[in-house]
Amino acid sequence: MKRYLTILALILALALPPFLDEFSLAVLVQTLMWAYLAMSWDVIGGYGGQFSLGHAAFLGLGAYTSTLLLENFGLIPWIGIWISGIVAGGAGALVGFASLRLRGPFFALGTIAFAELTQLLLTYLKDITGGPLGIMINKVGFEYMIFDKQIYYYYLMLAFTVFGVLFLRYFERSKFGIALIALREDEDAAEAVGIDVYRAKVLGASISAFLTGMGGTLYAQWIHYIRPDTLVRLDFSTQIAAIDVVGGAGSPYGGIIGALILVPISLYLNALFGGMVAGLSVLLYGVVLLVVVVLMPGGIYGFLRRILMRRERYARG
Amino acid sequence: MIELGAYSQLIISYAILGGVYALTALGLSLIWGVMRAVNWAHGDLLMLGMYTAYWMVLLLGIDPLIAAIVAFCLLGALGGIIHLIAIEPVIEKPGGHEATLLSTLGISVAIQSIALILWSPSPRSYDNIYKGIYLEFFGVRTSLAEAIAFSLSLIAIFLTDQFMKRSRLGKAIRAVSQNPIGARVVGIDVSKIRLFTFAIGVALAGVAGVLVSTFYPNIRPLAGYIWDIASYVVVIFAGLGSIYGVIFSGLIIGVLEGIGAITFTNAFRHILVYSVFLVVLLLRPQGLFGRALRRV
Amino acid sequence: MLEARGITKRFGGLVALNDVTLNVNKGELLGLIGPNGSGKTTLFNVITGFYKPDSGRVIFKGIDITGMRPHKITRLGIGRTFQIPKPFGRMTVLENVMTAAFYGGNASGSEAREIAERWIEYVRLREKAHQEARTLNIVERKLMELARALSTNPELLLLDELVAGLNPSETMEVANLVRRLVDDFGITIVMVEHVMRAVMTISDRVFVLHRGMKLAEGTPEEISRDPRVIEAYLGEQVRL
Repeated sequence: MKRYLTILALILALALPPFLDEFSLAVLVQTLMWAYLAMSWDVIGGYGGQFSLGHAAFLGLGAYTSTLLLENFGLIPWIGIWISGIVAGGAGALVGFASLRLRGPFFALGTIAFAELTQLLLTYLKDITGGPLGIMINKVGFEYMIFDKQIYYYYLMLAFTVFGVLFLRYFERSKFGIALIALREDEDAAEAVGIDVYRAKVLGASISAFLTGMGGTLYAQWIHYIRPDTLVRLDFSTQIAAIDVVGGAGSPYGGIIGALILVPISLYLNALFGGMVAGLSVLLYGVVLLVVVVLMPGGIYGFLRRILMRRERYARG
Repeated sequence: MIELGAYSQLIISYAILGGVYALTALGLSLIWGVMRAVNWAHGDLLMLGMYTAYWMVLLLGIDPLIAAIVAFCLLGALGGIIHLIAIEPVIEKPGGHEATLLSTLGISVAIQSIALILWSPSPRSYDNIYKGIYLEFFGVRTSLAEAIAFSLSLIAIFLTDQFMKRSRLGKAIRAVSQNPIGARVVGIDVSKIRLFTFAIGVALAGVAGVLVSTFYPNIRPLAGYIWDIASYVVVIFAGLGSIYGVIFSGLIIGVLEGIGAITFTNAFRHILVYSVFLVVLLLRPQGLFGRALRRV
Repeated sequence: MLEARGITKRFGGLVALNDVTLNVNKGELLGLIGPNGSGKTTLFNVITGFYKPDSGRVIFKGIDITGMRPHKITRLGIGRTFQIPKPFGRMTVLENVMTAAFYGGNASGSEAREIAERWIEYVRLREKAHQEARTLNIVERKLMELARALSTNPELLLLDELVAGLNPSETMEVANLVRRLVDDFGITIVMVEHVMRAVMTISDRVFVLHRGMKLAEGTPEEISRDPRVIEAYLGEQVRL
């Protein structure tokens, strides 16, 4: 059953876009981007149980790395994106180390401070980063990952999103993935069965940051203009976490489900009602978040799974 | 060169803010201490306190300090409602503490957007008699509004502390924050205590909002955010379980911000505060005054 | 096989362990008893690396493991269960035990499954193998934790109150399972227990801890007749 749904979804995803207008495609691009970011967060936030609220820092570090490499050395983003990942991954290791000492909400607060500091650093290292005015990406062309039509961005993001899902599906069965899940469930028990919890936390955070950093490059090439205060924002970090939790943290599909539910609605409402009643779409976002967190542990994916399992049990009699 | 007079002037201004930080942090510290919940909406509730004062002064012409009492009751009731829909249902389940982060985030976002829709993003302020009068001591000038805000914050903290030590409810709250299982065993209704604690915490934030509104020129729906971070910095700095530690930390943070604003550029003070925050968090997670956290 | 020498552990003003020396011989089943709060679990935590002792050494198979990280100690060959079971709640029983085989037991994919299934079978949990661990009752959780610890391929196994909360017949069944581990599989075991019947019937030797200090050491018969031990337990309803 799941397989047919997936194939259908893939066919739709591949075939539908040529028929859509630029705006709708832009909405889809953003949806997929947030889905990808949510899945990257999920590695450490969902599977690892380390609730980071500073992931926008990795987004920013990734975006700035590839952009600076492009501006100063002409390095094309197709290569730069990997370096973005490595730089972000390095920062992720720092966060991983912090998670060794800080638990739960303390860790979350620590990551918030970390992200704020990152934003401040990006703003004040003017000579390197161009300061608070940011950097404009002026190049055009396929080799610069800058396209003139949304549809190309769409297929690029689709590739990354599909990769994300496949990666998570592989990851949750892998030896390392099991270690992260175990330490999420019970850190002491994980140590007791031979898992090096410290190493796992640091490595998990690095992987998550690496993936997010790559997302930063994609975002930079899509939006053409990066600034510390519009990129490394607390509400980006919370949105990444919220999307994944709403969709279902700790599962390969949580990111997509959460993004599909939260992103298009807010973007369409924004467009329809404009600035003043922008409050409305945000209100909806807040209410959905509240309802899912309180009523559906395991997010929407967890909720659906439980319903399906109950149906199976009825069917069996 | 900036003369000493201007230095102390600025630091005093920030220290006064520190007093209000302390009051807000007190609410957060209570909530955290009793149920290990994070109230993401605290700053927004403070913002509602600001607006309560604003509308009461504008519509009813009453003294802002009377509005403080109204805000206490109003926000307290709202806090109770928020607790019942966002905290209580998840707090005892596994992962409940992180869940409260997100559920109160949802509340925060909802409050902000409703406030935006109702009151528009433009900043407001109101005139009151306290603003215009200035006090001078030791060569430093502050407005009466700031001085009253500071003193009332301290008084409110003192009253809360007395309440915690002498009243039945207060003692029950302390019991739950020190040992929830033991408290249940001796017959304390832990969920009721949680409800009251959350309501009181929010009510204190409301009062803080009223106090701030007397001198803060920037009453707007998105004002809450600033107080959030500063308050949590104070809470972490002070650590769990210490009411007076909160005052001390509030003052320190306030002064730190002031020093940062003078010695470096204005926004560098943020870097200073966040760095100190991280250092404290990493080196002494239980804060300066808190009880140590247990292991295994 | 294991020597804990002069272990002292303080928590603030409280001295949980005071210069305790304990020897465990290869192939024996050592019972570790003592009134509540005597420091038994603390001693376990020190041995397995969850606590660092303030003074003293822990030597295992000639290696000084004092203060080593718990996962390293597990991989060296010491397994343990916890007084209050700590399951990986959202994993199935099989996944729980397989994780232990992967990491502590250093097994490959297919080996891990075999090892896990074997130990799950041994503790009689086969029907529950594919259930989520958090749905298990307390008895099943303890058994799963035993299977999990066994899958780390331990030479020394530390069991913390395994039979607490079981009814008398369950208790003897589990006690026999434990005894067989020593007799048939050659695993050395230290058992912390409160249920005297279980400890006394299956232990080769007994070590008594009281207020963080060694009170007595000897065979079960000697200990059950020792007046100091009886006195220490007065006020606790225990039949020796």
